[in-house]
Amino acid sequence: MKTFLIADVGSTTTKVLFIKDSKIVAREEAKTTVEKPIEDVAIGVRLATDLIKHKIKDEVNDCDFLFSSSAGGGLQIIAVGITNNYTAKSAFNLSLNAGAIVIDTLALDDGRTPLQRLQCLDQAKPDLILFAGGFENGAINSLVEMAELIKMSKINAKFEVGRLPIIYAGNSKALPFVERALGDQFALEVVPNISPAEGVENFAPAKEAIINLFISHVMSAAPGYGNLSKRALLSPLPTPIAVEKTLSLFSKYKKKKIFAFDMGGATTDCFSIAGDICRRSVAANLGMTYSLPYVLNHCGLKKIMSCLDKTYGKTEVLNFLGNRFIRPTSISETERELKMEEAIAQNIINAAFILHRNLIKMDYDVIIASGGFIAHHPSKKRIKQIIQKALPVASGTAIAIDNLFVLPHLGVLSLVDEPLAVKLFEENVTIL
Amino acid sequence: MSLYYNLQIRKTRVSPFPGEIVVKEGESVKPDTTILRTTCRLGGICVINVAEHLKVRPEEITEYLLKKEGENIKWQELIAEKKLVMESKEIRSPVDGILERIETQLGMVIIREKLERPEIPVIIDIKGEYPKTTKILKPLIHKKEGDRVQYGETIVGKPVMPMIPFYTNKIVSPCNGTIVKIDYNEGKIWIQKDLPIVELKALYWGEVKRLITGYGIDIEFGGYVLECAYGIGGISWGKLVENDSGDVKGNIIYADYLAARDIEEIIKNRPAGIITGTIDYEEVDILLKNDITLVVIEGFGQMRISEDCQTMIQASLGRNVILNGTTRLRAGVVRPEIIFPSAREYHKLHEREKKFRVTWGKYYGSVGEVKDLLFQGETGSGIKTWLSIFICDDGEKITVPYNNVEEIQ
Repeated sequence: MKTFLIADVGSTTTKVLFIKDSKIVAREEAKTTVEKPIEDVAIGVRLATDLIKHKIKDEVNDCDFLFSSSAGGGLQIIAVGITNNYTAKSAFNLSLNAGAIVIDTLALDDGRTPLQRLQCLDQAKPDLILFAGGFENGAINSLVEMAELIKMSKINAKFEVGRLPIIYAGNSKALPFVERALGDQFALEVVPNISPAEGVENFAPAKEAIINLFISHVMSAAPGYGNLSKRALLSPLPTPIAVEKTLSLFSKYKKKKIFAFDMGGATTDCFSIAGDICRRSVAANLGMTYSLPYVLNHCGLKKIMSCLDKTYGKTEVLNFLGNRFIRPTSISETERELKMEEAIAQNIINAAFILHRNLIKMDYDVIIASGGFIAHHPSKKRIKQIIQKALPVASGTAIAIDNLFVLPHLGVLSLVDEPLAVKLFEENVTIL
Repeated sequence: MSLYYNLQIRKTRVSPFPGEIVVKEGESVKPDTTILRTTCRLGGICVINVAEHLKVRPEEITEYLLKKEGENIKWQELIAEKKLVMESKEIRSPVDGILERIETQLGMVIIREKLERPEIPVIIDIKGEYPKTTKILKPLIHKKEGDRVQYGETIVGKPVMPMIPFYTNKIVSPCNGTIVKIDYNEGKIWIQKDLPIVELKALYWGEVKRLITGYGIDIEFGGYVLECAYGIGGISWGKLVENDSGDVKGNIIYADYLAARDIEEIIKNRPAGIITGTIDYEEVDILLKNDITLVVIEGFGQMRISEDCQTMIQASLGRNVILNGTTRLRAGVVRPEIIFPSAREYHKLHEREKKFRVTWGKYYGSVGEVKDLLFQGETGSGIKTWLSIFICDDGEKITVPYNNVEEIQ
């Protein structure tokens, strides 16, 4: 029997799973160490592995190592187009569709001066730029102007390693000019125009390029990934893709229509899976820690307060929210704090589902809840209540939870041992 | 929160536009010292599809082009022409610039606008004000082509009395600039607006260590840096004073806890920036709206403030400090910071042993040591996690989640 050590390097925590004799022996987590001062993701993996050793009082040698990652804030994109309402919007939608977080959208009519756009680019540290604009045989000037603006900026990749990747998915007639402007300074990848004509969208090639670039450039650029990848049996997967693999596998084996959400610190990914249909949406700014100011903005304090009893005051809730935002790995020490987290979670799940419903509407056999908050919550009964309040659960729809928060790990495992991944999924994901 | 001692700090100040650096290497600068001057315009690109306009094949465009690569081109200058029997097709430049490239494969030309290119002139139509006066306009226009005009200056007007500069029906200049054209028949005046000058300031006290040709400088200085929990706004500087000192305007004020009732008064007095130990989260919004740099040392709500920070703050009252409110919590963490330039008297802080601090819950701010004892247990919330035994400096022994403790840097 093989033993596996599988890590998921998230934006807040690194979760490591130890599998031996076809069983999950231990699962531990540590703070993700992609940022300063440590800047080496391998350290977080090692710390979590040390906790496993501490727990099982044994070594974890001779394992096959695999990992997935959304660390460093996941895949962060700047979407660039010509007009805010058309190409920039398409680039924005496509980026979300590819599992990315859009940190800024630039367009010639975005209401900013060129200087302000330059300043935005200078300060941003994206993983890549998605550059679209112009129908085929349409505008060229504006695209070249935008390319020149990007060239002029001092924009750097997130971890300032290597050349910043740019996916060009605009009017092919402007390509020679764009190549001349950006080719030397950036890792330019060209894909077919995402909006070749009015009302026509061609997202698939650009989406594939984004995912490939994420694996080849972005993940490998994060500090420490080089060493981690060398130890790994296979290339790492982006976390949302790994989760999608697990869910697709389960749906295929059990012939179930699934709605699943993975509520992380920064984002909430939602999945609708039924046979070959698989739709994923990323609520890029709805998460339990880093995104809390956006959650507050999106859902409103009133809605969050309405999930709490009258003893909670506005100041207390806001201060809790602010402190959790600046100290994302801290753990609630009281029942009172936990209830505030529950109120926030309920609103996030609801808001993420509403966004997802714009993408696809279907009936579900089972709802699967995943994420750090879900896995750590001491009462499964209360989790079920939160889900029932947050989502329209039809009678006959089962609610299940990912007890150990291992959906990403199982997705990676399925690449080397599919039956084992299914077995562990069934053991770990329990119907409430 | 981290405190870095007695560092040689190097900061880079660069402009996105090239300009003239007005300081020298080795020169001392202050935050408000201008280090570079530039004009705030972008040299854009203009691509003209000559083949399409003239209805010729791409490789033929050179036959019709009147300009070569590298030649200067003026706004509205003829750049290509195709003469036909009945008519001719022509292309004029929409900008001032240089013909950068002729693309015979694509049938296009690229004109690069000059960085110092002026904006398209402002046109003043005086006929609206003087409908029947085309012939008598000349004496009413007090400027000639090439004259400078200031914003609000009268350029057209009927004198109330001869030789006395008071006018009726006057038209004033909408900008600072130069009159480039007057058309007496059409009743129009073209004013070329002056380019706005942007000055880049040093923002720090220090010495110019390196010139980045055309773009900026590196500034170096010694000091202490306190990295804090949260901030808003950019860089500001000033004398550090306490918030109840009565000397708020233009200075950096400090409060252990900034209460809602004080904030309105503080905003009215326009401080350069605010340092606070803690603040309620709901008050951040009002400071954000008033564009005031804020640095919060600990967090939100009432919390215990680190003794190290208080020592630094107290010792720096009356001295200059620099605040940077920029905060990014992920994807390249940037913490807000307070810089105490040239502070060299906090040696006591160097002598500290490696210590830890509780960063959450009722023991927040307790400083001490983590005993090497890690075990799985439940917090008061019921969450199962790794716990550790923490020995506070006052000897108290507490149990805290391992995640809620951080090393003091």
